[in-house]
Amino acid sequence: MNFFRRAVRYCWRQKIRTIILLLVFTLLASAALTALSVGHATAEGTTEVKKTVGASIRVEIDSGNRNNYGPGTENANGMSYQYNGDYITQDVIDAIAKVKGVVSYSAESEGGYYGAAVNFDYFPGIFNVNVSGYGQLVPYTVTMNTGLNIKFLNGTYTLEEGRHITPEDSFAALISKELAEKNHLSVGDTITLYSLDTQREDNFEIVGIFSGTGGMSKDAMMADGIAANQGYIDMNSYQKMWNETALELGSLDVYVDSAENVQNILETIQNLPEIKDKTFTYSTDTENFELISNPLSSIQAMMDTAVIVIAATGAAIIVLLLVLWTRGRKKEAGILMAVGRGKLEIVLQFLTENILIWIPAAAASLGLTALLAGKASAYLVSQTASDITGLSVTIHSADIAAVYGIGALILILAVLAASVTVIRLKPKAILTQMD
Amino acid sequence: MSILEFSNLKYSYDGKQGVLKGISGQMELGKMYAILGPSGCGKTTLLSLLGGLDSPESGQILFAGKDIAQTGLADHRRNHVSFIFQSYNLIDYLTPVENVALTSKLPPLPILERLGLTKEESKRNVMKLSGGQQQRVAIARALASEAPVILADEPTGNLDEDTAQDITGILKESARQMGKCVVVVTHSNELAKRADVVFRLKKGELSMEESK
Repeated sequence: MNFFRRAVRYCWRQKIRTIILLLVFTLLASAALTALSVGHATAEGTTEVKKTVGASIRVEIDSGNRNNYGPGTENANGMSYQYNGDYITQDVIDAIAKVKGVVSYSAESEGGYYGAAVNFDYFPGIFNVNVSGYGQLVPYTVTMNTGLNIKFLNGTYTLEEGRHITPEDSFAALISKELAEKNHLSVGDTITLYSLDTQREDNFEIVGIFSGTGGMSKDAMMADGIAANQGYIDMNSYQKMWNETALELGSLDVYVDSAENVQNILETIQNLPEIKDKTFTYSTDTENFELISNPLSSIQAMMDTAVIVIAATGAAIIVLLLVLWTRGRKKEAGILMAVGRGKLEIVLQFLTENILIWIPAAAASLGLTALLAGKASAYLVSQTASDITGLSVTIHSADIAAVYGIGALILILAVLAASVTVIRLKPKAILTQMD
Repeated sequence: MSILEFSNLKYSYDGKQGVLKGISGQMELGKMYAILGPSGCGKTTLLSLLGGLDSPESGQILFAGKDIAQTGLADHRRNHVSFIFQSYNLIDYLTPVENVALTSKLPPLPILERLGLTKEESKRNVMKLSGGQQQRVAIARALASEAPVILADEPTGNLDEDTAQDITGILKESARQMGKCVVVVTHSNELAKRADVVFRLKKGELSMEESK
């Protein structure tokens, strides 16, 4: 009977030992694979953050400079001054968009539009005010690109259906899933909003529905404070509602690919012919990047440490278990040597037994990791007190190869270490001790 | 012609000097040898040396004229000798059939049946058998091996009188009918009486007497 058949029989008949080792191997491999996968997800998340919110440059009209205002005119409320400086126009935006390192741009005004629901209903607050005659007014964020809105970037909100608002949209809206469900609205439907400022009703096509507002409105007293009521509308429609003929923005957020290069990119932008002599002010912002990337970096560091701790602890546990069990098999080794089996064959049997357990444990750990990695990352992210609500965890084949390869190596070393305690003895010494 | 020959064997252990003081002897196929002596006199040590489980301090052991230290102790254990131990030394997670298969490529069942185990007993876990049955499995493992020398250490020490008689008969029969060289370490004068040759080991010295 060769060592492989003995190994198979040993595993099958020593069921408790086999089950314990199977569990230990599965849990250790799952923990290591989960830590690696979450670590990589955070690394990828950080890279993604760098791509999208590596840093931003805010270009604003210089409204604080008195030189940019004409002579004041008297009116009922006092003196009124007209801004005569430059605005951010489409030409300016186009020139900025072509600068190397600029990933995207957006302009938004949180609460830039207050709209009352004409053909649908908001969630009511405890107190409801109806100053417009159309019901409660609710704030909307006016934006060029919802995909660059911080709540979508950090995962607070997730686009569930449809698409984001883009700079090309006109009279497009994004509403919450809760509001859509309450009013049986879906992508492609039209909502009508009334603005007290423009004193007009406008129709907006729902281009997307987002989730993430649930549980955010516990302290809201009025409908305008309920997150599920608040939505997004596009910048072009806002311009049209105010009957402006061309795009004239007060500010523009320019996103660049690298926080390190933000100053260089800013200088390039400032020296663009379309911008050079314009009355703009500039500021840089890496806060969003740090807001998102710092918790991710801390999770990544935590995961790196976890992998090392798991590998070291796992190796120690496996060596301990195998040494204990192998020492208990001295007699068997002595018998096998007495019947002429070589020491190498005995070690190979021990090794085969453990590899036979390692193979299903590896498969089980893959399933377990697939099941738990997402939950583990969500839990860890939730513990960082950041605005990030989720990471997309994928189990990479390189991680699988690393865990299983290093696991197998630890196993081989553990078996060798455990076997030394037995095979260094002469068969007579073993059998005499046993007798 | 002797199959196993040892000359000038010396052995000491754990500070106990002169366990074997340069003893010599030879053994032939087809005969049963008994090694008698008081406890601790080195009987099992001699058997271990003959079986290549240990090495002597000095001296030589020849199998079919070749020095086992030169040909390799593991090779000697694998091809030339098989052991029967007082405590049976069976592998506890294997069945009798599988224990016998450790040393033999032949089907183990016929030999187990010849030694009195039923088919059902032969496929049961070996630890679920009685002491006598376990010793029969150990003997079957030794007999099934192609090794010409069987080395038995107190093979009847843990058995009742009737079973011991049976086992002795089987060993004797193995020497006579299968042409094996059977070497038995024993305290039992009854067993020694049935041996062809008796070696007496006392104070590290070996003396030999032929049975009539």
